[in-house]
Amino acid sequence: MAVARKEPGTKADIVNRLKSVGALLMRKGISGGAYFSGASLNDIASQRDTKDHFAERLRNAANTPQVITVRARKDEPERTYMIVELDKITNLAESLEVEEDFETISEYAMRIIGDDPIPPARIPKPRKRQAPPRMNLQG
Amino acid sequence: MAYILTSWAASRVLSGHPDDDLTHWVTKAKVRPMIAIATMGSVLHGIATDTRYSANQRSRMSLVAQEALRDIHEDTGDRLLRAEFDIRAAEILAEILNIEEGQDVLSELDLIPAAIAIQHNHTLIVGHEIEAWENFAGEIAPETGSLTLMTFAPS
Repeated sequence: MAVARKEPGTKADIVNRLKSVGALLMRKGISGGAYFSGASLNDIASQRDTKDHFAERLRNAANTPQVITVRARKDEPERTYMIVELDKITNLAESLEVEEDFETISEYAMRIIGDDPIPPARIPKPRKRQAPPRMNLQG
Repeated sequence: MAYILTSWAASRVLSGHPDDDLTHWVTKAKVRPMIAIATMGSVLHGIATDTRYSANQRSRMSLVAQEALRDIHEDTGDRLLRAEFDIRAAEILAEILNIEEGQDVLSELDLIPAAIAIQHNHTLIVGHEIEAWENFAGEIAPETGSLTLMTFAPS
């Protein structure tokens, strides 16, 4: 799966791009990918709130990356930037050492269970759920 | 694409049964599946209550499940990845709990990985009640998100 490299368009496009970055990392076994795939529309700043809520953006970057787009002016094209907590990037760089030839969980299970296979445990049927109450929103 | 397991899918993968399609797929495609810790509650319950198991089978299955729990808890990414259930996932869960489709056969516990899958665009791995899951996914409101399924018929 490739991560789209086209110019970010709408806020939703930017969120999707972050999610695909996260998914790509997690597929490689890099759990730090969840930091990126956890992004939502709230993490994409508008011009207005960059001015008014920058400190809040910085705090939010502890949980999800924050994205700010700076409009084009004179000779500079529009560019999109991401605020990422430094620890997240250093941890990510360290976890890039993941070995590719690993034992999957299914291979591990086969090794432990041995020559006498066991059928998967039956998951009990759910307890009967009640239909959600019909709320009268008119009050 | 990242993959998150429902409780039935997790049970199948952890049994490592040689005739199981889902187990084969994980091995061949070198998948590191994600499991929510809540899902392991269902799996442990299944292992403890499956009346077909002998004491020896139950103890071997428990050994694999305990190792899986450790993997998920430590989140080293060696074999399994921990799927976090956070505030946004809780909001999605609140939405999808309204869906009546499949409520007799799909456990509320399995709506936890479903909510995480919707939040992060992960693929939910389904190994049981496939039709009910497909119908359920079809009932999710577009503003909540969308649920991508990968299905493996029970072997």
